[in-house]
Amino acid sequence: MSLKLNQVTGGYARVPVIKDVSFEINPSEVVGLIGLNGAGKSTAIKHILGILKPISGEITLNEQTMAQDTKQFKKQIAIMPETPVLYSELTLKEHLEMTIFSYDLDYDKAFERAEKLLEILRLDNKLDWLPVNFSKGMKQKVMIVTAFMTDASLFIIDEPFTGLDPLAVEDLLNLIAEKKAEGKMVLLTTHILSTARDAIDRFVVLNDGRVVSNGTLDDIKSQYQLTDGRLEDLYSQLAKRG
Amino acid sequence: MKALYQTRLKKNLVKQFRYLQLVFNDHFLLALIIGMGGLLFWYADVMKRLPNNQWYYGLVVSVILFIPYLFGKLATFLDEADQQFLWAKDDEIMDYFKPAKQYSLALPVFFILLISVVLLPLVYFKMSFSLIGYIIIVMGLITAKILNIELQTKKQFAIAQSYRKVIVWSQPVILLALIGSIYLFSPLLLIVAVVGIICSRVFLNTVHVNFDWRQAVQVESRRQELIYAFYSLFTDVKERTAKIKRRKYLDFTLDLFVKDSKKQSPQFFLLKRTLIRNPEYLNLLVRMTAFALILMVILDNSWFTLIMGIFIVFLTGYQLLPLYNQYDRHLMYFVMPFDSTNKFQSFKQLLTQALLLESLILSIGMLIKYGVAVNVWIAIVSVNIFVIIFTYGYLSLKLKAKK
Repeated sequence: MSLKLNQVTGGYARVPVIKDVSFEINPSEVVGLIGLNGAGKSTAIKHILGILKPISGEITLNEQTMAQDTKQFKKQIAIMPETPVLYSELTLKEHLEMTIFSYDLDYDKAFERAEKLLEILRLDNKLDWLPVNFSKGMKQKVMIVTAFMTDASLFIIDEPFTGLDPLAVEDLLNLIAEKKAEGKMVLLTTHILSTARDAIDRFVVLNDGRVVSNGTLDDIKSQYQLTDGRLEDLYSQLAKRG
Repeated sequence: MKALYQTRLKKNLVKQFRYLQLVFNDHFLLALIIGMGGLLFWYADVMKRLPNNQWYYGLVVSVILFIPYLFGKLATFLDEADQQFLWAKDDEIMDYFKPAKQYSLALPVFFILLISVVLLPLVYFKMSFSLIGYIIIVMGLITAKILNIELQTKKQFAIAQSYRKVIVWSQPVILLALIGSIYLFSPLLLIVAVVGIICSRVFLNTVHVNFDWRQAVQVESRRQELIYAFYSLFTDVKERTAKIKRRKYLDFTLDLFVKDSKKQSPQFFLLKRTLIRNPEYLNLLVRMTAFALILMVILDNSWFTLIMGIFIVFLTGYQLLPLYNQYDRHLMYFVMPFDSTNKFQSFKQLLTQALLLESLILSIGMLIKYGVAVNVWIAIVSVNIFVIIFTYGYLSLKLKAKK
């Protein structure tokens, strides 16, 4: 079980944004995809999700490409997008049901799981609300619940920390750790390295659409000669090299 | 700031012109000309038959003249982003409002003049009112509108609540003054309006108060929403954002005819709720059904009613087609593991249910109006068969051709 990007080049309308990108995620591994704005993180994610098609290269999840069986491929992925995307016509409860129906989950078990998550994230009394009544942070929490209630094998979490309160950030990190313990794969993009560094097992650093580093925290630190505790200095070095 | 308003005004006029072209399309113009002709003919006829000098004519004229006075809000064209970018320009906002006030007056004044000309035969011949007196009253009404726009402007500042009520209270006062000028003393309204303007300049001083940006932006967006709501009767308005309503009272319909509520097609689940909670779709269904019922009351022939019923079912179904592509650009809809073949099936099922509901209501209407008769049953069966032909035949052709 793994996600593999093999020399993927792709972007919008034949203008490559990511070039020759290769990396993989193995079970029980949290990979941090990091880089400056415009480095190609979101574009890489869009290729994994099938929103963009690679110009060249291949993406496989558990040895399967999306073209082989789209539904099965998608069922193995749960996503928490950078900007929360909800159906404005559905209540919170209906979003949970929608997830259950589309991932073919067992209703009662999945709902029970969702209720636990709602309780952790302090949303359990808002089941009947429409998204229009939610704040940005609350919408993000709904995305956390709908992603983590599935039994997907890959969790893609795009810049989750902005907008969440400190308690929710801690809850999310705990959930990520739980999924990791269950043998799932997690792909996390973020700029807030101080929050995420302990949760991430391996960093894939993108710069100008290319993978410039791929390794553990210590590997990255030695490659960029970072003094301890100042992982953020990585960004200024990337900008200089950019 | 003045230049900013002018630029926005120009942009807005181009936009309004584009929509007005769509509103006043050939069909509508034709209907309008015929309607106006009929109305004028009726008016001329009524004029001949009306008795002279009835005491209540003054009241009727006052109320009709008062309608164009109520019409017309201050068009500020303030944008949501102005709260951020013009926030520090409080002291210059009056410059911005100067052209706004002039522009906002144009349309109401035009309508006041138009209505007063239309009323002239009634006032002059049937009420034996002096022409000069009537002109003074119309001038009074225009001045009252100037006062009204002035008050609307001042209301946008963070002035005391009691002052905000002035605008509400000014309206019955103007109506009373209008009635007074017709029955008692022609210049009364003009005097009241001029005094009102002077008072508002003296007492409603806005120099040292903050401009209430949040409120002003809200007021403007409500005003524009109203205009777009009018346009949307004729055409699609892209500026209009649908306000989703919860409509809890319709929740009982959600799981109706659903075999197992814990195992549903996600697309059907989503589309059904969209139909019920998105006003664009539900209003359409309700409006078309109500329209059909009204026509049924007017029409007196069951065959006519049948043809009209089929036509309306077709129009309803046709106008609901955009629902099929509603979520095509929705990220989660794309990412979620749906069965792609299920989308068409779900839409077909939902549309069949919606149109059958419509034809059921029409059938009940027909039974009530024409009683239980053979041709009524034929009509009912025909409409329902048409629904099936539409959803099972036409829909496949139409949507597959689109693909």
